[in-house]
Amino acid sequence: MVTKDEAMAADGCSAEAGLAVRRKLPKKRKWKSVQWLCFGLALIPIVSFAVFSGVPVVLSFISMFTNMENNDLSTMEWNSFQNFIEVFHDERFWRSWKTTFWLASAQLVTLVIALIISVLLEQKVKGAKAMQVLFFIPYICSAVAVAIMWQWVFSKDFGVLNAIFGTNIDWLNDAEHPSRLVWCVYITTVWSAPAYGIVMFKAALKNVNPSLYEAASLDGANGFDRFWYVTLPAIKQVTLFLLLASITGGLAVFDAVTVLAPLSWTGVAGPGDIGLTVNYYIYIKGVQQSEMEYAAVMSWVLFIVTFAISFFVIRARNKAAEE
Amino acid sequence: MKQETIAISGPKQKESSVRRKSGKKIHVGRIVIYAILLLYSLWILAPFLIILVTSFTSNAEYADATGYIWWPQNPSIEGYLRLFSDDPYMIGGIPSLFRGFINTMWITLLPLFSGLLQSLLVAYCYSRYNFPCKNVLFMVTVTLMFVPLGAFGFVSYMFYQNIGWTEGYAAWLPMIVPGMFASAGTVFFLRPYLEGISGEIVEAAQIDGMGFWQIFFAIIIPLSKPALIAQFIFGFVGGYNNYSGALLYLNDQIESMWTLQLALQKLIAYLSTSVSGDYAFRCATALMAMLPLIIVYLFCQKFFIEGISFGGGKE
Repeated sequence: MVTKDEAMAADGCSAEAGLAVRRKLPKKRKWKSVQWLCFGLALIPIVSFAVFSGVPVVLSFISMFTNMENNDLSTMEWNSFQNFIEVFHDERFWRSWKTTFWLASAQLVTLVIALIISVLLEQKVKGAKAMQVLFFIPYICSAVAVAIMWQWVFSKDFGVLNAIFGTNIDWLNDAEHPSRLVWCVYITTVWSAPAYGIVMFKAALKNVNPSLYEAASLDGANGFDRFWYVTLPAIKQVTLFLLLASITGGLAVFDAVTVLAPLSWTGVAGPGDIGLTVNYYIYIKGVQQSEMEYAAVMSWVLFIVTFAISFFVIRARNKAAEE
Repeated sequence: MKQETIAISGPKQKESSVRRKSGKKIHVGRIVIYAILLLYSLWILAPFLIILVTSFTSNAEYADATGYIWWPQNPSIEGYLRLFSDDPYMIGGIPSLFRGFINTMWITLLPLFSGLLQSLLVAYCYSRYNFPCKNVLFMVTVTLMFVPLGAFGFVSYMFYQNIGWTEGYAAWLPMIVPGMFASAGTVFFLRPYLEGISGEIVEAAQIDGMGFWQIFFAIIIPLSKPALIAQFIFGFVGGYNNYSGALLYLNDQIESMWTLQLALQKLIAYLSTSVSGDYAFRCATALMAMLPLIIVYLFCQKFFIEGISFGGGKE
């Protein structure tokens, strides 16, 4: 702090501030124009957040209690919680949660895969660098392109999967086995999502103090013990961070399902509507059917669920930081 | 790939000499490690190889095929050529993918540069200056960063619709304007980095009579390059791959406004209704959409991997 004050004193902007601290009269200090400039600049992220995130969120909150015509705010009319009643009695909405949680669980599988691969890459493997470059590629491919790629793999007549198994299964659109579609989306996620985790875990593993491993080895710890008692505690923070990112990302799953389970003529997402995730349903209701007040209720439920789960993870993260 | 096969054939000398007793065990362990990593490499490569092969297989071959064609008998670049001739959304001879790419570039880069520069400026203020309500403002900024507002992406449409930003060319605005400003998350990320820059350099510059802006442009920007590159890569990959935003705002707009991901999805949706299948065309389309970023990545992979893991190790 001293050097910082000195730096500012040299600029001539905190000379008063420094004096004020000495006199213990912080209220009376005069601010220089540079400091007001800083104040103004510091307001930018807050104001832009308020305008582009705050206002839409507040509008969506208000709209939950109203009826509108074609999303026009001027036609808002109080409708005595009708939207909530409808949403909570909407069987489709509850079903969309099942698919969402199902697909979000792929993120946990992803974390385990990322951890295993990054630990293996750290074992002084030849070609580890080339492999790491390769393993990261799925991260830079869009969910749409990845879904299109896998769509071709799962294709019924000419797909690789059927060629390997010698079958003729319609993986993506079988009315009798709708869950196959969800598993296909699941595999797509498990293919692409570990890329980010591998890089993050690997960076964290590099920072583990090597002397800890030596000490553990001297104490007679085997490979597994070393992993359990040295590696895992050291990467706890990153793990929780990745968990947080996976939860928010996993519950918002959208891009891949819209490609693999496009809406049919009847407005159904995939066989038996199984491809419908919460975010997909919000999109259909709010944007395609212009019932934003209805979509707003669903968005708030999604937000609360995401927030509640994230909250517990952040608390665990803070605890881990204290240790 | 050649290196790995060599490694499998013999365990590392050092290890076998250090632990001669359990040498055989280590040998087996290492084979398992290599096997898993090679299998994982294959798993990551497989879908790319599969669509690459199909992109060179002509429609004619698929006409009498009974399953996936592992290797085309007469490889053809028909699929790639058709991108330039049979694209239903082509305007003035420019394929929709290419136009989408151009749109994606400026829609991504314009807010990215502006937002990053502003975020750095704000972080610079926080790290080097004292100013009114500093702590309160920072607290608010951090709190905003932690609110997971992803759930409101689609209902935000209502806001933009009511201010008229969803009609015609104005539909580009919701994709650009919010990103033009400093963001709470980036400021939070950059501040500790700037505080790590030695104060002496800034001090010396101040003694030399350099002002707020001079120091920012001449010292702060060059010194914070690694952090800026990290944020830039995140933003660029996110913008390049942004599909839901484009779907939300540009789906109903004219073709010339589409971004790359939207054009890709529209093209594939159109082709999947075609009777002949157009499999090569479809696979070529998907590959061409991914290729630019993959090439950039392969050339700058050091920056990508370091940038993405920036701060990851520190936590």
